[in-house]
Amino acid sequence: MLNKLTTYLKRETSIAPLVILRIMFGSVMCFSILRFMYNGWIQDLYVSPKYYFTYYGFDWLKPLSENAMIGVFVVLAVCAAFIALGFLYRYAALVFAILFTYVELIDKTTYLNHYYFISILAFVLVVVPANKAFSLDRYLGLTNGATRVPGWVIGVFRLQLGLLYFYAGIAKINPDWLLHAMPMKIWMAPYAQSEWIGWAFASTITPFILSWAGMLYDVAIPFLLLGRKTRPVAYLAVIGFHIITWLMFPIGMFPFIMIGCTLVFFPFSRFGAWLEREGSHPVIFKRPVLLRTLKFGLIIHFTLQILLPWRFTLYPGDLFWTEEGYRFSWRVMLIEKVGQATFTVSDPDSGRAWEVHNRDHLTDLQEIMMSTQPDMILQYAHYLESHYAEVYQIEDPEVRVLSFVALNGRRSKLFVDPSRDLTVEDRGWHHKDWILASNDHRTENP
Amino acid sequence: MKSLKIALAMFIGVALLSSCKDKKKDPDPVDESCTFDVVAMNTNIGNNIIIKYYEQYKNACASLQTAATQFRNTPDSSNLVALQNELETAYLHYQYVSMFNFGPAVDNGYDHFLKTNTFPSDTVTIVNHITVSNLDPASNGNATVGFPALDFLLHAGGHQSTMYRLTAATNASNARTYVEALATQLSSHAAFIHNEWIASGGNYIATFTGSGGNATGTPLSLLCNQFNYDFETLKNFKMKIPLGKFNAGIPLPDKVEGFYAGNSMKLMVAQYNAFIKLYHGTGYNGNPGLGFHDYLECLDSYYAMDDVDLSVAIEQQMRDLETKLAVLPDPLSNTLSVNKPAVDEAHTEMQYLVPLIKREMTAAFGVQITYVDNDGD
Repeated sequence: MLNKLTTYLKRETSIAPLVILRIMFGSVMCFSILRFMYNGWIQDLYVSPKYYFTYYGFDWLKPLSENAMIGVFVVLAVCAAFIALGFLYRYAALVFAILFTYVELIDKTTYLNHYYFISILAFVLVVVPANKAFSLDRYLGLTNGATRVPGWVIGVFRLQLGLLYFYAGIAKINPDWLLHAMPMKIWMAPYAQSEWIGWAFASTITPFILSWAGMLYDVAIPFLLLGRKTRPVAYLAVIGFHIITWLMFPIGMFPFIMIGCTLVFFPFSRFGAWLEREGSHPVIFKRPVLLRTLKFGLIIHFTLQILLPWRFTLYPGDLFWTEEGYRFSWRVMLIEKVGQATFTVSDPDSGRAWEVHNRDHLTDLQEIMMSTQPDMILQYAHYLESHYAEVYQIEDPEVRVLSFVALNGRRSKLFVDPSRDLTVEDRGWHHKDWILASNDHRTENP
Repeated sequence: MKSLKIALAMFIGVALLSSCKDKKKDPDPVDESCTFDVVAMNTNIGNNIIIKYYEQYKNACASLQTAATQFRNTPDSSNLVALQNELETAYLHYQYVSMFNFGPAVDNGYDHFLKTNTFPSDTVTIVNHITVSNLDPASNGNATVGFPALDFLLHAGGHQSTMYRLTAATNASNARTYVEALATQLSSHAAFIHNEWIASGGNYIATFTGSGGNATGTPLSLLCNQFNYDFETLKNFKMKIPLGKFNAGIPLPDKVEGFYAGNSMKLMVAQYNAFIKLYHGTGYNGNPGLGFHDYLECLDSYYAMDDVDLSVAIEQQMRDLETKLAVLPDPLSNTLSVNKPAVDEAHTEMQYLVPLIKREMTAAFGVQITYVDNDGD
């Protein structure tokens, strides 16, 4: 087994899948960035908010001025196009990876698993020789050509994609998803009213079929894409699955990123042969030290990738409720959670108290996201503390919240202990004991 | 391939195990499908609620205008009382249409809700408008027109003082002209919106009753959003601000709706009744019809995730709120100073209703409240 793996990673193979991945990634990203700009989301997400929910440890990261943010996105679009064309590839990929990650780190309101995925992919693309063939760099003589790469160069992308699917799949193995078809039922319900397809969604069995199919698809697809015989069918399933999700849910570009990137599982033998029409040239890594560092870095990265989704087991309580250890774990389209949070700031010295009008401080989207995620509730409480201290000259304001959350079609329950002054609670990775228990009968998510 | 099969078998095994475990604790998961005719609900709400209440409102505004003209021409005490009565009737009937602030109510270059009921009024500017003869409501700000401005002009300081302002004071004639102009504006807006709705006019009713779905812009989405928005204005502007919730806890009684006439609770209860009627789909004539409640009952038996159904929880909370509202006497501005805790209690019940209707109900209906991409996490 280990021998087979070593052979797979070391064996020289055609660069073709990597070239295809480079082109797909660059072009989908370019389109994605332009669409983002066209929809006015730079203004909505990085200009109009008065407050940003920074990630723990990244509080120093701030958005730039409006024009500079537009500049960032223009550079991102240009870099994505350069990646697709293989022009000044290394620089383009590096700038893209850094700027994209910068933008994503500004506000966790917009956290999406597929943005996280793009950041990872972009950084891995920086370190692989994807411009050695079928690229402007090669055509212009900016790099020496190569048509063969060691197996690991392609393998890292297959592993990253495989992990995404696999973890998305096992996250679905929980009683709500499989036994109650929740939240699939909630997502399906409106379609039962549809004139054309209503008959299919009116049946009680449909959400169960879709829930189970979704779980089995996610868990199995990495393996099916690896198998030579199963690959074509598996890829048809990839297309079908992502098109269906694209039609049913407002998930933007994610389906197309996945449809494009999973092509890396194919060998593209004919394209490879065409690339090698004038002979086969293995890529030469000139600096062995750099290569060793790179391999070491990748091992660390994938170890973290495998471990991070399990960190939730270190926290007490229900993962879906507390969301402690929820992000960065490929939990995609998994729960339906809604909430309402009303904050009160009080001055213990004078007895004065203010209710907070969230819309004065947050955008609609920020308010919606904040009200179901404890770390954001705490951050916002701390922001309110400093805001009210300044505006109303309060020495030591106290901030409390009356918050209700409803998970997967259950009734709203109190979410945060309304008696706790959140200004004295610390941010961080420790368990937050001010989150009330979900008090329900569900077993924990694996 | 062998390892794949083993992996698959393992996962199905795990799932089935958790299935058995779960079944023991949760013996009766009722699974019924929900096929609900959203178009039929929209048709009921459009024909039996929206159009009927707009018609009632339009007629009340026409009477208000007539009374205002009458008073302008013959400014005596009995005509003032008649005008005040028409004002209250029209203001009460407005509470039954304020929820329908979409389509014709906003597509004509102004926001009907803001033009009609922005309170508290900017009384200084109103007096100034009258002094300098800025008597065209269309060119004056939202806080100087509509019902709140009429409430101020026709009630401030009581009967004697009002009669003096409108008959004997320096700008009395201007003031009466402005009163009439305000009533005329209300009446023409009401007539316009009603006409846009009806089949023999703009026929918006055909669009409204002809489409189902839950996407943004569909009747369900518009109704759902306005239902919530209207309730929040009730909670925030009629309760929270006067209670001083944004003012260090110090009440601001002059911020209530209908401050000068002192009929705040009457107006609030009317709006709350309209809200309940829309929720239940109860028609203008009191006849039952399809409403949000029916759709939720259908979805409750389908989702079946909680011992308490959402439709039941909402009804219970609505009753609790109704009880707390019923004990608050007019004028609310006075109740705020003599019995603030009672007002606070009613406000708290409103707080409890919001997550149920704004978060859970919209989620159950699948009505979209966010506008950017979302992978659900």
